[in-house]
Amino acid sequence: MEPQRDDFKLIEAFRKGDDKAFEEIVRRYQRQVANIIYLTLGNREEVDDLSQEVFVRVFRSLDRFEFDSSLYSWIYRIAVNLCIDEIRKKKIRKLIPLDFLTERKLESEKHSKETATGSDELLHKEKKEVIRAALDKLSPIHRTVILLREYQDLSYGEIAKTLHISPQAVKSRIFRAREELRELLKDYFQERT
Amino acid sequence: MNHTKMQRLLSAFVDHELSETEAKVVREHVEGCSLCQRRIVELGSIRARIRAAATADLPDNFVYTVQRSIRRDQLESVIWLGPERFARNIVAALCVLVFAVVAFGSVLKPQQPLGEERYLSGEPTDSAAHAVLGSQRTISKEDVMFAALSQ
Repeated sequence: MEPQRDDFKLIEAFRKGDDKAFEEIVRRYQRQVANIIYLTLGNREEVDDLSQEVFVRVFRSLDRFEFDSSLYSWIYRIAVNLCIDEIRKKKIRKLIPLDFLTERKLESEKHSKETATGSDELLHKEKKEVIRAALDKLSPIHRTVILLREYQDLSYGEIAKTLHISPQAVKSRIFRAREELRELLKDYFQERT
Repeated sequence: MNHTKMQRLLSAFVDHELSETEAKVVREHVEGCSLCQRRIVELGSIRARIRAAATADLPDNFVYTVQRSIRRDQLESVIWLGPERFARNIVAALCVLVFAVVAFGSVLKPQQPLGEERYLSGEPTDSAAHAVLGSQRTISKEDVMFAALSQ
């Protein structure tokens, strides 16, 4: 509860014209916002511009914040909505050959494991690419719920508020997203056991 | 409880989103089920890998970039409002001008009685004055009086 009270104090200071308060809000949430965008869209080049757009929207709307949710879930809602708009607008799945990328990356990881001669850093990097590629395979709504849960650590209730769906729908979508991810990463899990 | 249902519960279990009763059922099942134990490890691994993949970071001066964007956004709003404000002022000025012209015109225009009233009151009409004075001149009140006396 402490961070939330702290956030509310920052909002009140912002409303009184304290520019430093807004700076603090940006600093506090910029990394999470950047990663939500990065993991949702899978495109690092857009992260800067879209993160900026998120905080411009936050600045515009902060006067209308009603203190009925946490500031971070409110900011994530703005970020998620922007990502969903972006996916719709650009039809990212059609522009980026994700299937090809995913297969290639999964193969690449498998191959690198077979031929690895000790480059841990390279392996580590490729593992990240594998999970990124697997996330790209999920539908936008499954990707969003799983990211809000696994990366942002939001509760089902907070995710429900953020996405305007019921907690039951959140529970069900998280389960399905995990099942899909398990299926996509099964080679990885089999190799570990 | 069948395994599919248990796997659904496991997902909510690792998120601490089950009631105490449900969580107890899951704990008891997991203790004796290696498949579900492995499933829990996998779910933990997915979480760890997603967090590890969150490598995007923003430049150190990001907050200033945001402030610049906000200023630009505000400036664009002002520019956008500019023509609208100009058009509103023009319309207001035109309304004032039209009102002023109408009001000024009505003050300047002499209030003459209608021809019928003048006829009934015995005052000669402008046509009578024309008959006396000719049609080339502008008819004034004095001309009308002169015409009446002449008749």
